[in-house]
Amino acid sequence: MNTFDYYRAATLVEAFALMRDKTNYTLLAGGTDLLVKFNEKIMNPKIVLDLGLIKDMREIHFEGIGQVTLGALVTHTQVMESQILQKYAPALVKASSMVGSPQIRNRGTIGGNICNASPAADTVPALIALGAQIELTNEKQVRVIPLEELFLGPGRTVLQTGEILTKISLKALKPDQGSGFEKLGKRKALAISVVNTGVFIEVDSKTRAINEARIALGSVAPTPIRIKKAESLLLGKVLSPTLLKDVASVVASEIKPIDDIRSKAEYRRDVAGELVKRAVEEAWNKASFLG
Amino acid sequence: MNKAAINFVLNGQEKALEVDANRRLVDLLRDDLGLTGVKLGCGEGECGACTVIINGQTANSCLVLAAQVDGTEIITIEGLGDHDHLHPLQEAFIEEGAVQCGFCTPGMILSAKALLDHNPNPGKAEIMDSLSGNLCRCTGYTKIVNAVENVIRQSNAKGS
Repeated sequence: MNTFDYYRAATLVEAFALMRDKTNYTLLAGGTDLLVKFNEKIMNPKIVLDLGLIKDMREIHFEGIGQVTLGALVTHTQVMESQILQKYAPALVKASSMVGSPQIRNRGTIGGNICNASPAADTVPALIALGAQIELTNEKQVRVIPLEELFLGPGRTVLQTGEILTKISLKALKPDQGSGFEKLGKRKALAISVVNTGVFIEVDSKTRAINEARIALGSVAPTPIRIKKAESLLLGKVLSPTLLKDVASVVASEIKPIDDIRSKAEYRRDVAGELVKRAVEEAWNKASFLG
Repeated sequence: MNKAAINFVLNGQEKALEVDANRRLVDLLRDDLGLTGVKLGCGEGECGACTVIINGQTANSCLVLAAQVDGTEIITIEGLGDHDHLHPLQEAFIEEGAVQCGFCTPGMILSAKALLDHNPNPGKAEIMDSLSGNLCRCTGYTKIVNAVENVIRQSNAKGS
């Protein structure tokens, strides 16, 4: 590991003061991705600014207006244990539970998983499906953008110098809405996803037709992506095996996977359709009026 | 490069140290403090040999900067028992033959301890999940899981 200066902020105000007039800093949350990159000299920061002690960025809240907010420093373990998220954002709970290992989930944060901007990040397709908006805060102002607009490419985001991802907000699921998440890795633990997908649907309680749908995938393009063509195929229809098959084939034709160390493009196309099928079924089954 | 002041509790003892900004927790524990029960395997969070317990939760000490542990409580395998008074998990690993080369054992035992501290009566699936971040290349895991199950059985028998 190369040398760097380390600073620790106990509050956001302190963090912004430390960031002022600096451009060559790296923000540190849990460290489960960054320490690997530091150690292997893939990243060689001059200044490391540790946000880990900022308490109010570690909280999960149900806001009462049907909104759930997560501080960026909430860990995957916190997500898994949160009764609020189990009830209102089950796809996210499932995604966090499939990240890395217990050791990684205890330290790794949602904000870190997002800002690391890996195309294979597990929580991101789940969050996009759940309609996540993120707060990017600098010393003077806060801007809110949809999560899917954050990513520019592998490891690259629109986060500007002086900004911190502070908060993620989701609309709490209602009884006629459901979410699903599926991941395929080489094994159950400590596997970077070959393909992952998060799905949200809202079902009309009388006609059982799908009113709203979001389908997001990871590891099939330079950034996590939504497949809007597959989403619109679901709208106005009742779920059926034929519809699922059609959705799967649209997904397979819309994604742009590559061959890499974990898998081949061709295999990814095949499994992406199948995983989306399963996640849509899961979301459909969870829309509680059916139960 | 600057240094960071850290205060933390290590196996019940208070420590106040100055560490290099780029020192990893695993190196601090092994090389500076002599706790060589913390093993360094892969160095990238895949093998779990460097597992320690920080504030009641397991962590890979190769993925933590020493500077990050200010204000925490850390337990390593050295904090569990000594030669005359082994921890029940250590006894069970010996009895069951859950140790072969031994390199993964400290991490395995700490992961099992963190599980049992949170949930004294886990099922087999929970045991397997709690050990999923610890690789063993010798045992095939069966005897390790058996050892954890034996501890649960014994403590249930004592409790009833």
